[in-house]
Amino acid sequence: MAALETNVETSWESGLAGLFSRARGGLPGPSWLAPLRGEAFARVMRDGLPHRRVEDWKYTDFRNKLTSDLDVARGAGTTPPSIFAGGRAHHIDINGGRLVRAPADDLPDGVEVLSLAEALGMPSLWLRQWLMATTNPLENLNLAFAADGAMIRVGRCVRVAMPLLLRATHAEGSTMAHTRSVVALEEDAQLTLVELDDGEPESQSLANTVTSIVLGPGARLTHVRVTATAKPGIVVRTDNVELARDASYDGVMLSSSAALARQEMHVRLAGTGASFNFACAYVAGSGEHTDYALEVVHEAPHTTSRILAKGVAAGTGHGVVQGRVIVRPHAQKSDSHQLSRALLLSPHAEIDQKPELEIFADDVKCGHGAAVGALDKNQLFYLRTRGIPEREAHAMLIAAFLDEIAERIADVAWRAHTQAWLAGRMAQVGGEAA
Amino acid sequence: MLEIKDLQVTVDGRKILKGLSLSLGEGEVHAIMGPNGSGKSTLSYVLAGREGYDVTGGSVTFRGRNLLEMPPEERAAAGMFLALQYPVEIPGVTTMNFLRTALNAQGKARGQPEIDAATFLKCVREVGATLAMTDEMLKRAVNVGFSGGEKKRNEILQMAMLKPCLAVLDETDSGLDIDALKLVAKGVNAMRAPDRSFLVITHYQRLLNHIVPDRVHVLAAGRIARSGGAELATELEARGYDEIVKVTA
Repeated sequence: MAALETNVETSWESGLAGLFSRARGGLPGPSWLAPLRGEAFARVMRDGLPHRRVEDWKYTDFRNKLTSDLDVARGAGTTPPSIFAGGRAHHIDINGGRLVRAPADDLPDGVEVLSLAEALGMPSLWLRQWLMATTNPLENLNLAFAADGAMIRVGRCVRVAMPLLLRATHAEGSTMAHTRSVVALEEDAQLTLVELDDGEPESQSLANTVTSIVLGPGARLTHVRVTATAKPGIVVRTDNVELARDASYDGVMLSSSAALARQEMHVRLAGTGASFNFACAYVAGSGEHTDYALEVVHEAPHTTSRILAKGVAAGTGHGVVQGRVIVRPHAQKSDSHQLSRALLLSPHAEIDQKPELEIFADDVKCGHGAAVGALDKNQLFYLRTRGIPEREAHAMLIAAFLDEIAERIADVAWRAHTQAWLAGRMAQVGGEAA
Repeated sequence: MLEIKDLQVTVDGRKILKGLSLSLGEGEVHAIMGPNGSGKSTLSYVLAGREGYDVTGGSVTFRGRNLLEMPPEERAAAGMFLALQYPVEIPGVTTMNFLRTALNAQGKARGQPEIDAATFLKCVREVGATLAMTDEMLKRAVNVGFSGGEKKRNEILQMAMLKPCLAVLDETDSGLDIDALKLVAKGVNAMRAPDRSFLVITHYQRLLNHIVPDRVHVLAAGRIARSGGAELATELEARGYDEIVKVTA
């Protein structure tokens, strides 16, 4: 993310300074952290918040989406029932940016879950690497305000049988929550991490989460993330993923219903044989904007990356998928493919897909494709001749289109939960399409 | 059952049906034969309610109701079925799910309760077996990776499950080998009943050796050029459309 020239400061930006000076005294952390927070905040003020003139934000006007003044979240407010209620997992709950529940006794040996607030009270320099100012304004904003998060560590060769469910709820209107989490898998460790973003804020709210994912040699992370926060909530996430030799990341992400849901992912395939396999689906109905922005860097030879995105935009919905794959000079035999497909269900909906390749090695296999279309008229007619009403036929075809993504969730129960949620969203959005 | 009077249909500004009249009684099987471009498929699509077919004149009455006013799903719920000439592939929707959704949608429209999963499964397997359709095929996405013959058998399976009172078979015999043709004909014959009528659209007499019609109509240039008994099909096969149509003209 390049630093940007600020034009006129928005009222939100000017209000931020007062907010930070009031909040900073109450933020947790050892003495070395306070100046880092200050530096990060100064960068935010200098660079401004992302807007459409910044290339990585070309299709998502974050700065102008923020229309109301937001206070710092306190983690209050009622927690709506989870769409994943009853799913088997070790539970971690974050509410309004505060870790409110961590698994205790039921964690297997070799797995550690700490709250960031707690970790900051310990004399540890290990934390410092996750708490640095960067060139990314949202990460800097996060660092300035982050009070809590989940620090998850899976020890060498530990295979966690049950998924870890990290639920981040933000239900408190007119507030912002900044969460910073770390997921570290040591050599040959295995984990399934299921993340759920939810909450039904009554007024505009911002959940800004930064997650570092570090996979040691041979480690395998299976990652499922569902962003289901309701309008007018705004969810922005930045993930920094680093894969060592032969590590593998398998991710399935789904998002729908937020006023703005942006997932920005920076992936470094740093070790030979590392593989990144990512699939995402989105359903953007009226007043919803969803954005996946991925950057995958092949730094080592024999690395693999796959990106598959499928989405639907209806009503005035807006879907964005940007995938940038960079192959560094000595990353020979890299193998990369990305495909983005979308259904545009209304003349007022918008889909933007931008695949990019930057290849600096000569012996690589890289491909990309993108397509946008409408529902197939022949298929619709066929379903209707069998007695299936138009609206139901729409929903069926959209579900069939997106199911390719949800089907990748290996865990049967979690897959069923996710599909049920997606079907519910589609039934709503399918009505807008007809 | 079905009363078509002076039906005139335009597609993309071209007049395809130019005053077609036909009366199909309860329990009857009528065949419509005709050369390419005579309007056979247009007739089947108009009956099913496909978009893009402008009815510029005439009427179609189905069991006393104005068929042309009903959307496709309502026609289906009222008991009308079209076996398509080119069945559509639907990736991501299994044949099982497709059939069950269709059955329940039609049932709902008629105020009937949902069919329970076990009964449905038993029924679809039984009917599938008579059409040599395996469980594996039923679990696959609708028509995806099916051969031409498998797609046509799938149409007959749907017909057998949905139990319409009027079935329009649009060139269901095209692309079938002789064994598949017999299976399909057997499926249709098994369904013949006093309260069920069939409109069999075909190019060739071949199918009519297996499904013997009560009446045969020759469609030429957008209207019925000649009608007769089952023997008309044999005559057509021997003498060709040209001659028959010339005689009438």
